[in-house]
Amino acid sequence: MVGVMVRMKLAILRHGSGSRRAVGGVVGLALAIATLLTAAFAPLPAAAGLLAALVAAWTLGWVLGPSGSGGGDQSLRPEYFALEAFPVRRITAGLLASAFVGVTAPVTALALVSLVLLGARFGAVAALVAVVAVPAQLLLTVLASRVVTALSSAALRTRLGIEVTALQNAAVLATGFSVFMLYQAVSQYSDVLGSLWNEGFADPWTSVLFALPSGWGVWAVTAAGEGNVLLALGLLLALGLSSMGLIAVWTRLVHTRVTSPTTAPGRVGGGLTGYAVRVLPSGPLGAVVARELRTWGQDPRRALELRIALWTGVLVCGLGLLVGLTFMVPLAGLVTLALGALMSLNVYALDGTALWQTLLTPGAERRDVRGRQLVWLLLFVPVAVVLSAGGALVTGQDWAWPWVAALLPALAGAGAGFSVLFAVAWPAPGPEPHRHGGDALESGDVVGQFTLLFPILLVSCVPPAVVTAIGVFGGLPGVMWAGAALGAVEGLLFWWVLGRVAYRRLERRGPELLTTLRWGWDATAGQSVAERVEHGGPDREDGGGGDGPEEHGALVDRVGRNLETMPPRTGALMAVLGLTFWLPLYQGAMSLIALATGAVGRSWHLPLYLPEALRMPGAVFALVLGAAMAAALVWLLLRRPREDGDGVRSPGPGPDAERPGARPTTGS
Amino acid sequence: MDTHPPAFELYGLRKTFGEKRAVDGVDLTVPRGSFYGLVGPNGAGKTTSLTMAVGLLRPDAGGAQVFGTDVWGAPDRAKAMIGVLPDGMAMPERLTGRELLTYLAQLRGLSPAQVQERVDDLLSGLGLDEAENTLIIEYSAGMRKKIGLAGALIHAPRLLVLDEPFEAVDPVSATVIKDLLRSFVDGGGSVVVSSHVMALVEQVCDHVGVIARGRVLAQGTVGEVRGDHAGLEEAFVDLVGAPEPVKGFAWLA
Repeated sequence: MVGVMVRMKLAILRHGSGSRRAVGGVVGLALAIATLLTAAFAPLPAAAGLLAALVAAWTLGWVLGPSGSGGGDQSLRPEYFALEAFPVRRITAGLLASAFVGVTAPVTALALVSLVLLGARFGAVAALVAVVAVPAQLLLTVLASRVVTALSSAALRTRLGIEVTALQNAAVLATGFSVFMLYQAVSQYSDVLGSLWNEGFADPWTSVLFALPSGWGVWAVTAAGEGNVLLALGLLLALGLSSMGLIAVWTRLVHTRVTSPTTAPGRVGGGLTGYAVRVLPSGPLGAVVARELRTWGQDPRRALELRIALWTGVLVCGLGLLVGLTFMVPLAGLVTLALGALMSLNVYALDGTALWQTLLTPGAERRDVRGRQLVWLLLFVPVAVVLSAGGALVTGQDWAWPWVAALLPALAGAGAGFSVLFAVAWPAPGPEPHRHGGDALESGDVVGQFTLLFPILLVSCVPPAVVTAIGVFGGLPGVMWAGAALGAVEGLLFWWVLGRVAYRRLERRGPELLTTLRWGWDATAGQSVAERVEHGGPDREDGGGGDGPEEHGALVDRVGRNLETMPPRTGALMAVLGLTFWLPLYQGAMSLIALATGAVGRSWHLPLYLPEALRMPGAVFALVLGAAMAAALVWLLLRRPREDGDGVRSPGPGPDAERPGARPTTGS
Repeated sequence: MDTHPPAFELYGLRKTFGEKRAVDGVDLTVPRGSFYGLVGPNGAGKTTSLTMAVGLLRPDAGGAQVFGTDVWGAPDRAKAMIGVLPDGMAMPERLTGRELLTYLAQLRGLSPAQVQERVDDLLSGLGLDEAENTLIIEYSAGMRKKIGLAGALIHAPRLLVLDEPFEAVDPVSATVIKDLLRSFVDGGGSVVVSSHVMALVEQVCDHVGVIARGRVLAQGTVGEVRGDHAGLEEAFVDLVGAPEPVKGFAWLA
C-alpha cells in the first residue's frame, strides 16, 4: 500500500508542472548550502546556536509554508482512500511516505546534513549521533508540517479557527516586515551580524533554541561533542517519541477527515456585511459590491486572507510599540495595504467558474471589476488610515505625515488596480469552490504572482516617495506636499487605468479565463488550456494598434503569455532575480548616501567594506548590477514570445480556420 | 435577410482539445417556440457545443445566432435574450438563494419592484422558499439545478439553454420544472435542453437533435427522428450504433 501511494505521488509529479519544482529546488538548494556553510565554518562556540536557529527556520517554513501556498501538497488526499479496506494507520503511513517524495524533503535533508558537519567538528561520537539525528529531525519536521496543516484546515471550519490561523500567519509576516527595521535600529549601536557570527546568540536565546523540538538534533550533537552521551541519547529518544506522538495525532485527523468530510457551517445574515448589503443602492454595481462583501465575510479562504492582512498591520504597530521603535507605527497602514493587495491577487480563481454569470450578463464585466475594486478599497483603506494616521497621532510623530499622505493613496490605488489586474490576467486556478475536499485552505498556488507583485508595489511608491524626500530633506514644504498630491494622482490613475485594462481584458478574453478556471493547468501539454485555446483559436486580435489601454492590454497579454509558457529554468531565474534585484540597488544607494554624508556606520552595506579607493566604484557597480537585474527581469516578462525553441509549443491558427461571428453564406 | 430567423442556430461549430475533436462541425436549428431536446451519449459533445453556442467557450470555427443576432459578433444583444443553465459550474457560493437571485436581477438592471416580485415568484414557484436562507454551497445537487434555473429565468429571456436540467432532480421537482418550461413555450418562448435520458426527451420535447462523436446525426421533430422505430431510444441506438453485448466477466461472480 505504501509503495502504491509513493508510486501514485511520483506519477502525479511526472504529469505536473516542473517549473514550480525547479524554482523551489533552486531557492531551497541555495538555502541548504547556506545552512551547510554555517555548520562548517561558523566559529565553534557560535555554530551550534546558529545552526539551531537555522533548523528552527527550516521547521517554521515547513509548518507555515503550506497555508501560504494554497494549502500545501494536495496531490494525494486522505479522501481518495476512504473506501479502501484497510486501517487508517496504513493510509497515514502511505501519506507520510509520499510526503518525502518531491523536492522539498530531499532539500531539507541536505540542509540537515549540516548536523553531521557540526558533529564532525566535535569528534567521531558526535558525528555518529548526528547521523541518527538527521533522519529523526527530518521525520519530525515533515510530521509537524502535516499535523499543523491538518489542524488548521480543520480549524478553518470555525470562525475562531480562522482568527487564530490568521494571527499565526500575521505574526510571522509582521516579524518578517519588522526584522529588517529592528536590525537597522539595533545595528546603529553595534555590528550585529559580525557578533552573531562570532559569538552566536546571547545565552537565554541559545537555550530556548535548543529546547524547541527543532533544536533537539543540534542539542544532541552538541551534548555528544561535550561528552554528555546520555543527554544525547535522551534527546534522540525524545525526537523519536515526539514523531510517534505526531503520527498518532495525524492518524486521528486523517480518520476524522475520511469519515466526516464536511463544508464549513453556513452563517447567514447578520454582521457588518449584512448591514452594509441592506443599505446598498439597488443596481448592477451595488449588486456586485454586495456579493463581494458577502463573499469576503463568508468564504473561509477569503476571510483568512483578509484577516492576515489586517492583523499584520496591527501586529507591526504592536511590535513597534513593544520594542520602542515607534517610527514603525505610522508605516503599519502601508504594510496592511501591500498585504491586502497580495492577499487578493487571485480572487477570480477563488470564485472559480462562477465567472460564467458575469460573462453572460451584458455589460457586467466592467461592473464586476469596478465592484471588486470598490470593495477592496472599502475593506483595506479605512483600516490602513486608522493604523497610520492613528498611529502617528497617538505616538506624536509629526515627521510621518507627509510620507503617509504621499504613500497611502499611491499604494491604495496600486493595490486596488494591480490586484484585480493580476486576478484577471494571471489567475492561479485551484479546486472549484463547490468542490472543495476536506480542506478549505486549498487554492491555487500564487507564489509566482506574489514575487512579481511585491516589487511592483514597492516601485509604484517610488515617485511620490522621491518627491517627498526632496521636499523633506531639502526643507521645501511646497515640494513636500507636492509629493502627497503626486501620490493621490498616481493612486487615482492606477485605480482607474489598471481597472480599465482588467475589465477590457475580461470583456475580450472572458471565455479564455473561464476555460482556465474550469480546467486549470493542462499538465500534459506543459501550458495552460487557455494558452492552447489562444494559440489554436482564430480569435487572435493582433495588429490592431488602437488607443492607450488597448496597447496596454496587448502588453498584459504578452506578459501573461510569457509567464504561462516559461520553461522551468527561466522561471527559476526570474524568481531569483525578482527576490534579489533590490539588494544590490539598496546596497549601492545606501553606500553612496553614506559616502556622500560621511556617515560612520558600515552596517551590512558591503561596498563600504572595500578598500577606501574602491568604495565609490563598488557602490556604483552595485547600483548598475541591481539595475541590470531589474532590466533582465523586465525583459523576461516583456520579450516577444519566440515561435520555436525554448520548449514553447505554438500550434498557430490554421490558415483556413473560420472566424467566429463570420456567418458562412451557405444555407443551412 | 430572413425576417423570422430561428430562435437559436448553431453553424459549423468546431472545437479541438489537444488531439481530440470534441465538436466536429455541428449545425443545429432550433425553431421559434419549440421545446428542443439535444440527446447523445456521454462525451458526445453536447455540453461543449452548447457552451460555445452561448458564448462561454470560444469555438475554433463556426458560431451561433439567437433570433438572428450573432452570439460572438454582438454578444451583448444576444446574451440579453438567452437564459443559461450550464452543467457543473460554480455560482457565488457564499450567497443564500435569495441573495443570489437578487444579485442576478440587480446585475441585469431590473427595478427594485421587479427584483422583489420575480425573486419571490421564483423561490416559491420552484419550491426553494424553505432554503432561501441557506448558502448555495450547502445546496444539494437537485437544489443547485433549481436555483440555477431560477437564475436563468430572472431576466425573462426569450430562449432558454439548459444543460442537463433534470439531472439529480427529484421526480416532484422534475414535474414542476417540466410544467414551468411547457408554459414558457406555450407563451412563445423557446427551450433547448440537453439530456441523455431518451424517455424524458420523448415525453417533453417536440423537436430533437441527436449528436454523437461531435457530429449531428439527425435532427427534426420527434416524429421525424423516431421514423419507423418503436421509440426514440431505438432510433437513437440505431443511429449511434449498438455496443457489443457484454456477457459479464469470468472473475465476477
